[in-house]
Amino acid sequence: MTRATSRQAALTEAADDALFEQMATGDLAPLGELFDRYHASVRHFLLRLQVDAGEVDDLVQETFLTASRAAGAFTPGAPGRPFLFGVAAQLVRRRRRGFARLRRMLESLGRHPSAPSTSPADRTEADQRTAALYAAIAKLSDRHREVLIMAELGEMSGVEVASALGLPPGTVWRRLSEARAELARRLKGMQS
Amino acid sequence: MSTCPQSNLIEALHDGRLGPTEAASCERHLRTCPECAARQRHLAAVREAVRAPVDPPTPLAHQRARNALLRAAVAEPHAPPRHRRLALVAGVFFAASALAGVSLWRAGAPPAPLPELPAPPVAPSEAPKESRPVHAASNAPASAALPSSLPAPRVVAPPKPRRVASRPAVAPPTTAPASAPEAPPRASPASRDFAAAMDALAAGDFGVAATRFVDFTAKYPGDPRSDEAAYLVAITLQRAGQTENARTAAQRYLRDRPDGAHRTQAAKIAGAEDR
Repeated sequence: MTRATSRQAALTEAADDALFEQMATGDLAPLGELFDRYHASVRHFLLRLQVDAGEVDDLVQETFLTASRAAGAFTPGAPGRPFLFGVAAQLVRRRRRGFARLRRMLESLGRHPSAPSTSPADRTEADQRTAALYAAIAKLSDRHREVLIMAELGEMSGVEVASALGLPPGTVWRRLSEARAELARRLKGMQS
Repeated sequence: MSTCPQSNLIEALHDGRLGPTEAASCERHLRTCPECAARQRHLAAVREAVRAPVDPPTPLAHQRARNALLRAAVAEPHAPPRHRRLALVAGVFFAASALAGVSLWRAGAPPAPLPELPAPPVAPSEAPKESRPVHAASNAPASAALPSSLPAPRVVAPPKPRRVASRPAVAPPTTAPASAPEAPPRASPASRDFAAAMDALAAGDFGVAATRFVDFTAKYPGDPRSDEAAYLVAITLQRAGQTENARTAAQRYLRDRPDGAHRTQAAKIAGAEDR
């Protein structure tokens, strides 16, 4: 309980829940460490949620800030990443609700390293398939996409996704299934 | 769409929802059923696409984002617990005495009475970055270090010698008036120096930034940011193209701070030919 002193050295090795526990008391010292651990993951997650590259850094920061404020809600013993993904997803939702939605998916498609922007003739068939896949993911509805990305990227079970997003598990399974079926449908359409 | 009765199990297998026996039988089925195999390939392709790496942030971008986060976190007025509140009060006090300290230093007096912050792990009472332009005094040694190509440093009027200079503030923070916590946080000397270094970094004046970070680590060895600063010395030197010096700085970082938060990155710089 009282790990107050000599924590700087222990910080680097501390478990995620210890960091959150410390932040829940208002001590923000572990925030930097948490950021170092997970900022790349969170950023990856946000980019896959079709967050614009120009906004992603703001949202990463907001995610960690919000997480530090909500640290009291962290489940002891849990890993930090699902919690952060949950916070990030909520922020994205809020943002999308607030602003009139501008569809930037084609633009963002061009930013994916694995989606080459050269002429179709240059691409291998595999590249084309990958590009088509990204395009299809971009066209999913937000609610389908967030579930899919969280499950696949976060290696989270449906129950974990559900608790991170505040949804019933059954809803998560259904959306996950729908999202995949939708992708399969779109890819099939592109092939023929 | 799907005709195979097993096809709905493929997704469960993919998500790890099947028990070992079920999973084994499902995998056997996959070898004989092209439809299910295609479905599994599709699921794997989606997973692979989602997990395909995105362009990672550079160490410098990471560092900037990290500092911006810590700054924002401290500036955030969310129910500060008692010790942070006190630190804030202390910060206000020290900020008031900062000018005094700086002008004293400028006047050639020994820099001894620079007040040190009580420093809880995260920097207390950071001022918002834009609220304080780079101070003339902290700019002087840095620009001397980098002779050429200084794009008109943002210098405010040099501090006039002040009467208060003779009285270094040592008032204990607890005697602060009750209203003080509501006052906007002012920068401590350490915060200001750190911000000045970060500004130089952001402006691309890597030579200047390196000098300031070195100064910072020397001046405030106990400050929670000195670890960042020591690491940023290596980063800025690297950005300045001084690979050899960057390596030395990284090696020094590793030697002085074997448990430093950036030891992994520093080790990379210390060992790298060039990056």
